[in-house]
Amino acid sequence: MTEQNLKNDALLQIGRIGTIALRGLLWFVGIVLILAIPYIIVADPSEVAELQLQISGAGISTDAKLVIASVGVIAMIILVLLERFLLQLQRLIESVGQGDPFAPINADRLARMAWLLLASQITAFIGMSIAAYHAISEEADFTGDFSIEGLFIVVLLFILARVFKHGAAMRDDLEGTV
Amino acid sequence: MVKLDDLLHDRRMTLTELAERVGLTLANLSILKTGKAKAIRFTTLAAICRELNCQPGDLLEYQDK
Repeated sequence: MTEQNLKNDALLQIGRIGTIALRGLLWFVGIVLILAIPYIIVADPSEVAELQLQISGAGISTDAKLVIASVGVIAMIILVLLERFLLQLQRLIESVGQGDPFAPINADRLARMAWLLLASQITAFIGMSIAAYHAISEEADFTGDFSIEGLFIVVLLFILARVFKHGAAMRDDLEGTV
Repeated sequence: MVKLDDLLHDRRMTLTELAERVGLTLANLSILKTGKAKAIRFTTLAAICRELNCQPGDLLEYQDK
């Protein structure tokens, strides 16, 4: 399968364009956060009153700007982890389009994706826990539970990485067979 | 060691002709001829022996490196 086949395979094309678009979106949100977090920390309370109103409406105490900033930083970390995850997926899709899905590096990419997803879940759990600690409303639900589906996908990715590692070894054996 | 050169010379056959007859690409047959192949399928070996009218031992020789 050649680069041309990447263009002819609708699923690969959709996957590739989708990952690129999502990465672009994450970059955009990340830039907004990079600008917003310092502003929130240093801004005069009256300037962020509306934001605080929205946040307190969600049930989080706005007494400590540090709380808002720390949740923002955690959101940034998750954005970075997800962006790296999508980058690995994009490279994986491109390698399939190039006709080389069982290159050893793809086993590494899948393992990295598993670790990145696990790290983002742990980070999200920490973020939710911080928000829950500072919750002022009993109605606000910030209980951070690990998503079973997310953990299942992490395990699935690790298994797929192992499968690809064996596939690469088998391909290596076959290479040079006439 | 693959003694394809000698056999082709004796049979007055080119590598390209042999590739066409056994159903291998010229590239793969060249890999075999230059000793870069890691493995050979029995079907490939049988096809080469059929076209060159030889035995596997005429084609392959073990050399202790």
